Amino acid sequence: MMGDFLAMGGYGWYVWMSYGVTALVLIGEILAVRARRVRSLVEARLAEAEIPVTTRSALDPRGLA
Amino acid sequence: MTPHWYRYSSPATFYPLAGRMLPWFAGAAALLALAGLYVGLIVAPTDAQQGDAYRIIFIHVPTAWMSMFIYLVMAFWSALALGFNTRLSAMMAQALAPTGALMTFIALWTGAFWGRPTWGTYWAWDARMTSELILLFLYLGVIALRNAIDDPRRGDKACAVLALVGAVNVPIIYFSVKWWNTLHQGSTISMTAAPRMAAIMLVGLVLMSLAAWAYAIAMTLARVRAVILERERGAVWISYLPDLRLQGA
Repeated sequence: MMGDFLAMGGYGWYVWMSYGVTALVLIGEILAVRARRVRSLVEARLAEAEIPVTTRSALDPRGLA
Repeated sequence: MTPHWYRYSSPATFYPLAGRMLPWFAGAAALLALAGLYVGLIVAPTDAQQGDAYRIIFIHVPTAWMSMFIYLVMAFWSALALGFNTRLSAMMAQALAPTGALMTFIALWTGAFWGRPTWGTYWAWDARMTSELILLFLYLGVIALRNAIDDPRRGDKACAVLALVGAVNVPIIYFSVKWWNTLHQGSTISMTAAPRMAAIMLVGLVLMSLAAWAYAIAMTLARVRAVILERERGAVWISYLPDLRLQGA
C-alpha cells in the first residue's frame, strides 16, 4: 500500500524529486526569512541606542521607548 | 467615510498591518496546501495517458503562474516607486524578488522532472522553457543589482528600471505556446473553453494555486517587515515598536 504510493506507478523518481525539492526550497525560504527578521530586529535595537537621548525623551516623556 | 489608503503607503503604518495579516495568509497557505496535496496525491486518480507523472503539474502549474504574476506585481511596485518616489513601493518590490525567483526555479525544476517521463527530455531550448529561464535570470539580476548598490534609494531606482524593462518577457512566456510551435504544450485550462481535465484534478490544481498565492503573499509580508526594519532602523518610530522589546522575537 505505502510502497505502491511511493512507487507512483513507476514515476516515483520524477514525482518525489519534484515534490521533495519544492518542499526543501520552501522550508529554506521560510528559515531564511525568519533568520532575516531576527537579524533585522537585533540591528534595529543596536541602531536605537544611537538615537539621541534628547530626541527620545522629548517624544517619549514616559520613557517607554 | 473615505478610506485613507495612502495612509498605508508609509512604512510606519504598513509594518504593523503586515504583521496582523501575516498569520492569516500563512495559515491559509498551510491549510490549502494540505488539502491540495491530499486531493493531488491521494484522491485524484492516475491519468490514463501520463500515469502518475501528471501529479507534478499540481506544483508546476501554480508555481509557473506565480513566477509570472509576482514579476508583474514587482514591476507594478517598481513603477510606483519610480513615478512617485515612494519608499514602501520600492520595499515591496525588493521583498517580492526572492519569492519570485524561487517560484521560477520550482517551475523550471518540476517542469524538467515532468518533461523527462512525458516528452523524453529534462530540458529543451523550447520557447517557453527558454523565456522562463530568462525570467529566473531577470529575478537574479534584480537581486544582484540591489546588493551591488550601497545607497538603497539609488538601488531602488536601478532595480525598478531593470524590473520594468524585464516585464516585456512575461507576455512572451505567456503567449510563447501560441506564437511558436514548440515542445511545450498549450494551456490545459482556459477561461473560455470547457476544462480538458477531470473535475477532481481541477479541484487539486485550484487548491494548490490558492495555496501558492497565500504562500507568496505571506512570504512577501514577512520579508517586507524585515526590509522595513533594515532600512528604517534608527528612525524614532522603530524605537516605539513592541517587537523590539520582545525577547528572542
